[in-house]
Amino acid sequence: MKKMITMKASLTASTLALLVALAGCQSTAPKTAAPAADDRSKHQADHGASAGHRAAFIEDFDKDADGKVTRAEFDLGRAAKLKAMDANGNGLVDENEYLDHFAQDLEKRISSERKDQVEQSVVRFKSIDTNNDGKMTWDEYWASGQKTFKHFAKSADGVVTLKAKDKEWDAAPGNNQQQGAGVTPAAPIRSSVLRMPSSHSLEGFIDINDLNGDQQVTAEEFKQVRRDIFDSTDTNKDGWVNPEEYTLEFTNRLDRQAKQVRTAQMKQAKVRYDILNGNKDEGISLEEFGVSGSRIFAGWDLNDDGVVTNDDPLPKVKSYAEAKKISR
Amino acid sequence: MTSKRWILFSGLLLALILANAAKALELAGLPLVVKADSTNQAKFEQALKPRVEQLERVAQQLEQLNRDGKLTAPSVELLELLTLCEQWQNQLHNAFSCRLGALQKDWQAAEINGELLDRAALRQKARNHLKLQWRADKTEVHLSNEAQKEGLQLNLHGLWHGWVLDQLATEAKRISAQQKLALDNISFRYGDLLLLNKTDLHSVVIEGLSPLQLTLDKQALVVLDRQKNLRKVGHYWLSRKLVSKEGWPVEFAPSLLVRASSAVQAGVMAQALITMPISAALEQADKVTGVEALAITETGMFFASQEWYSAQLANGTSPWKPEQRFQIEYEIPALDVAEYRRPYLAIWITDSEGKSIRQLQVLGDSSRWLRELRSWWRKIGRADDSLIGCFSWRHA
Repeated sequence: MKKMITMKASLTASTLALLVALAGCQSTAPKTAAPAADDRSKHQADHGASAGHRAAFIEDFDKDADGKVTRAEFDLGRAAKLKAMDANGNGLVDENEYLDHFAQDLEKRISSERKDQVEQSVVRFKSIDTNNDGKMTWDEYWASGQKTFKHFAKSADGVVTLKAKDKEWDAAPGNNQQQGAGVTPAAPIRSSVLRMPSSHSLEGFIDINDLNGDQQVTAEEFKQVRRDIFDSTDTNKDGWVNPEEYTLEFTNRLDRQAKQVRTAQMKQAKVRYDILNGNKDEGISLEEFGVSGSRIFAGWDLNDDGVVTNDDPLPKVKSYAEAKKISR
Repeated sequence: MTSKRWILFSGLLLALILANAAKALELAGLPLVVKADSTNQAKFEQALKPRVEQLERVAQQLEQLNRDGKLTAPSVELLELLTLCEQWQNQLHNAFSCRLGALQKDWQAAEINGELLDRAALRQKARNHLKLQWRADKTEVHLSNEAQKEGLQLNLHGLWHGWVLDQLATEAKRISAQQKLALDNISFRYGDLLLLNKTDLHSVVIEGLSPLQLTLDKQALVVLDRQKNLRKVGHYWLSRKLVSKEGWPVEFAPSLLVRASSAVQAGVMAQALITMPISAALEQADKVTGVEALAITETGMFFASQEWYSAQLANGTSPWKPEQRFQIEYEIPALDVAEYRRPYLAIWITDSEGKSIRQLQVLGDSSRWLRELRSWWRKIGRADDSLIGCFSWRHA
């Protein structure tokens, strides 16, 4: 597969390096390490720290894109962040400056993720519409649902329950530190900001389909929810769902979720500001920001080598239920 | 002369100066700038005034229609504008719409009270409004009962500005013939729009960038500066431009320049193109004869429709020389795996210190997987989501 790019440039080749990045299918397995119960990671643990949260930390501060964050990189990134927040350039970040900056960053992440998820809904429609006629019938929708239900309903009574979730949580890459033999986990990716409930996970499946709130989903319950969703998605009531109806239903859910995320995240940001500011009037100084930064860096660098990588042990989160409670 | 008389005289002089300043052309609350040869400037301004006053009455009629939901004895001009609204909305498949007035007002209120609007509710409202109808004939314009009930407000934004300039250009031609005034150097500016009746090198200033030198050959130009089109709602900075089918501000809006052979075309196309992802906008610009567009992303990357640079090249203003042409050949390795998907790929040029100088190619359109191109994502991609999907377009 060869491609040619013809272009004109005013630069001489001798001064340039041409870079090609190719997303490969292979990834290197991160080394595993023993869990470290460490009070200094309380900040991370309190926020449901996972490999995804750490991936976000690395992505934000890894200036040279080598997959790790040195203390020098972190300090530079932190100082740049403070400068970016300090809109009036007085060396202090007041509450509005802090929240404005956070909101801007949050909205970018929401928009970016939202765009991907809306596009993904088009792909999902096509996979459900098995005869590719552009119409999703109830039979097609139900057939797809049954596959999902069977995947999760492993117990003999045919009920999908969260009981096994703690074990699954502990076993999931990134949530514990012990990988199964011969398993090569994918490199952790940044945690989703929207955290859209999805039938791809047991947790999401129950969130969507648990009609009576008993933390489990029976076959009858599932069919009822499935039918309700199908009927409400078919807004023109012609008996089938077209791609626009399907995407609209999903987008509305996505936007309701985004609204909740905005409210919750801005509330948390305000709490963080108050802590950083120590209830003073003048705003956060570089020194205060630095002290807080030191705590954050130390909370991720749990093997104490001065560098945060995917090889560091993760802060201990006691259980799935606790993590979920924290993340809400 | 006594001191009292001096004061009186000075006061009269000041009043005279202020009165003259107030005579500068204005239409619907916006300055309207007409420039011509210095010898003809004042004559044109004076001769155009009656037409500007007529257009002011059209603006007032539109205001009345929005206020009362109906209007008797509409002007020919208003009827023409309403027809154009429908035509452009159809032609651009709702990417342009005159039916966004109520939604714009919602956002103006949000700007004041600092609360973001509910996106799902707004989408429903926007989609309803796109379908609302009016009846228009020589005797009356009447918003349908449903349109009145739903609070439809017409906002002609880019169409209005462009149409006004085209009207004035036509009027200027008539005046030129009638009064034997040279028309060669006349230009008009109204809102974001510039209309030139000559071939000229025009300098465009976009905040944070070096001025761009553009050749305009009796064309209209719209400049939508990203920074100047932001509004603050609570802690959020959002674009003032709304997506017609969503009622939500355009996300990752670039700065956008649109050049077209008529001002209406430039005004309408700019309003529509700014609401699309850059790649779709440039594709759309290429479909419409006489329209060219340049998008400049938040991080200062330029993407242009196919003909955007051609005028500049023809005029010898291109920074590139033929001998600086080079070719890059790359090969994507074929992987012998059961499930093969097209890989994500990025190619860019850096200086000897690793600083990105030129982006050449990015394959793949999901930020989820582009993120896996860690080096590219860290250095380029993550700062600017609007880049995704753009690199098949000419950029500089």
